[in-house]
Amino acid sequence: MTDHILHRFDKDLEDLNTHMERMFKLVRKNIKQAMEALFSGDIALAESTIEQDKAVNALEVEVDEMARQLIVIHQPVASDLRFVFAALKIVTDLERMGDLAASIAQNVKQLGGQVPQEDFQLPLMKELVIEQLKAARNAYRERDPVKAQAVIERDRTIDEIHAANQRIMLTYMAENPSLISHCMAVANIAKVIERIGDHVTNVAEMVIYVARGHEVRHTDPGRILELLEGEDDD
Amino acid sequence: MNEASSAEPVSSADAMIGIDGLRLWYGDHEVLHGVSLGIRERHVTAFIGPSGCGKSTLLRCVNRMNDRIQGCRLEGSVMLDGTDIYAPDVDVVQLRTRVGMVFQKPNPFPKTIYENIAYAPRIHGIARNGVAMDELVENCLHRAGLWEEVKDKLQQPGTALSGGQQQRLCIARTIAVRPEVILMDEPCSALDPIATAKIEELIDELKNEFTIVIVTHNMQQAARVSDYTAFFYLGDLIEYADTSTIFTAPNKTQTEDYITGRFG
Ligand SMILES: Nc1ncnc2c1ncn2[C@@H]1O[C@H](COP(=O)(O)OP(=O)(O)OP(=O)(O)O)[C@@H](O)[C@H]1O
Ligand SMILES: [Mg+2]
Repeated sequence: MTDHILHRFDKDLEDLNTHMERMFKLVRKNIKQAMEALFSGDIALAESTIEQDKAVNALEVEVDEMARQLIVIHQPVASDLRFVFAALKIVTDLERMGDLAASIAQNVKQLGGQVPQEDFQLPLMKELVIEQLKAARNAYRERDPVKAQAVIERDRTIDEIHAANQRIMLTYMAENPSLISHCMAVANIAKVIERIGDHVTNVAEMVIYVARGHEVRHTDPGRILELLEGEDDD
Repeated sequence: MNEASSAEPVSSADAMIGIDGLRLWYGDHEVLHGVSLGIRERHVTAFIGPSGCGKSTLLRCVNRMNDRIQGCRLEGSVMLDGTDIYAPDVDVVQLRTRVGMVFQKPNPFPKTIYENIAYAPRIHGIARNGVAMDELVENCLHRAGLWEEVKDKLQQPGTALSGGQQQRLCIARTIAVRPEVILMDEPCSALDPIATAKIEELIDELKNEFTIVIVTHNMQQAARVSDYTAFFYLGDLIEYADTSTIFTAPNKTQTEDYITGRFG
């Protein structure tokens, strides 16, 4: 991306971007930490995760304000407009992911230091969703629609594991009625991870919008790929 | 990019003005290098691009304002409603009643407000003096959004109005001869934001009746008033698309660089 003639404009865009990066990092840290608290039954860690979510919320408000200012002062168009618009969407998803990390930490507190007796593939789901978030952030950084499409595509894996998990859990609860409430808490957490995955997908969709101007929400990943492959001129 | 932007935004069937392979020289200097585009009836089309890219030159081709310029020569064709406006039998005076023009600097005649409107219709026999003319004058001033401001001073000179009022007077004068097309070359560049907003609202009204082509250096204005936008660079048409496409997701890097202010 070449520079604007107005350096102030570039500086404001860069500041906005820096805040976004910080938010990506913090959200990822909080999700990881919430899951660590779960596996280790560390209530103090869960509490600090809940505390750290306030910083994520504050960043969202800051990004909103920066975007508002940027629109008023510079009246961005074309890719600049798409970037600012997408930034507003992305921070909303990041903020929601932050809330979901805090909600995992809440569940950990409710489990009162008990660690999951059966892991029901939670470590795998956690690894996948953290990888996805990292991949989405890279796609965002590089404004790379192909990497973003791959993120959208891979969300299916998380969904599939989650669905399989739920079936296994039902059987498990039927066989071990005494573990029902424990299992419900674990099932809740699995559901939360699956939802974090959906928010990561939203971020990836906005990356494609920034890079190419395509509105790909509610579009099948295969169709998105066709769309991107049909235009490798730029 | 997306399907819409690579195709022509205005099909030749929809085009009221068809410009095809237009090349233009001032002496040895070729300033338009084969421009082709269709302009849609009762829509607003904006021409944008850096200074000297040929926007005004192209606009003036549509009512043959370049004819008077020494050493100006052109190739290609400009069709208005299917007829070639450069054909030998075309009456240029008649053509200019069909294709009116509003300039950057408001240029009312040094006559009364009333006479500014009545002058051309009288010459063209559109209305005689008397009630018919009074009605025509009032009607044009109404449609130009100026009636309320001038109805009590129709006999005062047009040049005594404010810049924005003068520009609306010029628009009223242009529509008085019932043109089909109105060409506007930076019509607001000498006006303050309020006067500009009034002209923009007027453009929005007028497009129900007229086909409008506007040259502007104000990107927000192009985005606000036009349905289609054409971006020119050094005498070439670089990109032509729906205005919303141009300002949200232009197809060409040059368009993007220009409208985002990365040009240079
Ligand atoms: N009467 C003329 N004689 C010779 N050259 C001319 C004449 N009018 C314009 N030109 C040249 O033709 C080119 C296009 O000029 P034109 O006025 O059409 O540009 P423009 O896009 O309208 O620019 P601006 O935004 O500054 O009004 C320029 O290089 C200009 O110098
Ligand atoms: Mg000009």
